[in-house]
Amino acid sequence: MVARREILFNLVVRDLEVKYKGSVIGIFWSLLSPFLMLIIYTLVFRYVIGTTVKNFPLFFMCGFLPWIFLSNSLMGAAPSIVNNPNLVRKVYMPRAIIPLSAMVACLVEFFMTLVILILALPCFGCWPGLWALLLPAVALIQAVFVGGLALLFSASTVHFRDVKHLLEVLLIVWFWLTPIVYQLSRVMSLELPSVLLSKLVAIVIRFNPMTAYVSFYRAILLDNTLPPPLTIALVLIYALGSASIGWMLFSRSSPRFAEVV
Amino acid sequence: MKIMPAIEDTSAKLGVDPTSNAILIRGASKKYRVYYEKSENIKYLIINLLKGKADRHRDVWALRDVSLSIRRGETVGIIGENGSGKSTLLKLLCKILLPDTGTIDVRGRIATLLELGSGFSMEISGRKNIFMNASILGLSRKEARERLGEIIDFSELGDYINAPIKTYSSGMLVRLGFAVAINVEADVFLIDEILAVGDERFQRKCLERIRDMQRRQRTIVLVSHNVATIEEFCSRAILLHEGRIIADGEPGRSIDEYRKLQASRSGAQADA
Ligand SMILES: Nc1ncnc2c1ncn2[C@@H]1O[C@H](COP(=O)(O)OP(=O)(O)OP(=O)(O)O)[C@@H](O)[C@H]1O
Ligand SMILES: [Mg+2]
Repeated sequence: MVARREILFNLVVRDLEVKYKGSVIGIFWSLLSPFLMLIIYTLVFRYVIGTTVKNFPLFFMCGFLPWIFLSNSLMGAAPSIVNNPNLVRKVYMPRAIIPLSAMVACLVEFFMTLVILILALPCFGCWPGLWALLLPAVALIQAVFVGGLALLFSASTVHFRDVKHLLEVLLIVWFWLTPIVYQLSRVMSLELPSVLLSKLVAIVIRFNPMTAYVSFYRAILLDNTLPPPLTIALVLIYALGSASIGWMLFSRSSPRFAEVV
Repeated sequence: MKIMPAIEDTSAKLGVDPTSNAILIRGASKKYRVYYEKSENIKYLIINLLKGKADRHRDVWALRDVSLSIRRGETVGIIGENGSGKSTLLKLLCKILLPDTGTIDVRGRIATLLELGSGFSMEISGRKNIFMNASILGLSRKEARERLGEIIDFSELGDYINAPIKTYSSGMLVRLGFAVAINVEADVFLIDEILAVGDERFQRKCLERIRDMQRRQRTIVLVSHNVATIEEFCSRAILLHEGRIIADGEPGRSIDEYRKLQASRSGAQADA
């Protein structure tokens, strides 16, 4: 058990190091990209489209940072098994550590960006309250959810090498079906050409796991309250569901990884 | 051509308690599935499904019904032609592969040295790879740090230890891998044809370490095409042929069988 944590730690450090090439500027880059997105999305949604969301930059970041965590984790974890044949074919270690370390590396970055977000809240006239203390816990629950998907996608990439492309498309669709740049309440009263379609879209967005996580972050950071009980329940159910399905499928296919990687 | 297995009891000679098996394999077989046309992509999978084509594959039995027990403190050599299943056997022992039939038990901590670059990450430095490899072999960070100096000394890599290992030659990679593996307090050492890459002096140094491990009653399984090494170091040698054990016993005898086998092969080739 101790040894496993040690391997995980070493792999996370390796991932971050390779990414940043050991330089402070490297870390700066990974913080810069969400910042650039913030500027662009604010520009477009507030000044071009004219969104009615108040305090759009904060509203956006509370959804976008958890999203980046999900998206980076999955894009990193999916090819992680096939990209590390040295760790699969030539030594024995619990293979789940490989995709999970890719996820944890993104979690570290996520925490760094969250710290900056917390520091930025007062600058936008929004003082974080006591409920904001739940932030690390919510992030960890989301990490369980993301970890399950990381296992799932890394195992399927071993068998189907084009899962990565599929994932890219999936992430784009998933992004727009998550209330990151718009409010959930707007979706509930959507008026699409067909009533059925409006209902369908509303349901998909309502029960999209990321919707629950984003709502949770916004509640504790922007409104200083807990989200409704249903959201809390969903957040936990999605995490447990994703982790158990991911783990089950992964452990079923991992014994043969050394032969097919 | 008939080769009789030559099994003899080596435990008496070694003075080891014969009940203490370090390795016990019962009826292990391993099958690889080789695909002619594999749907490696979802796209092709869907196309093939629509066309009603199934994946065409052939089963390769790399090991067939292998049973053997190795006592604690034994040094066992494994010889055989290319593709006879030696590496597969070692990979089963350290759980990289799972057997399709049979059971495999290995007692104690295993240190493996299977192929070039095992457990290494090419982009990071030799020093960081030592920590990585040590954790994979089951060492804590503290233990790894305690042994770091010894490992670096043994590898004789000098300043290169801080360079990314993609800049290493194959011999340097072996040095690093061997230095970590041999400095781990393991009970069972699995070594696959790795010594051949090091230069002569380093090979001698490694073999000295292996002698040292023997004195300390470690169990060693050594795959090598170098029969002289097998003869010198092993108390027992196993000859694999097409996935079966066809000789198991005193190294001299197994090596003779191996030579006969090779001679009959070249004979057959000369006839053709
Ligand atoms: N991943 C794999 N997929 C399919 N077949 C494989 C795989 N690995 C090994 N084989 C086959 O299994 C058989 C045994 O291979 P193995 O690597 O164990 O041989 P070996 O005795 O170590 O040979 P060598 O002396 O060349 O190292 C060979 O026929 C090989 O083609
Ligand atoms: Mg081999």
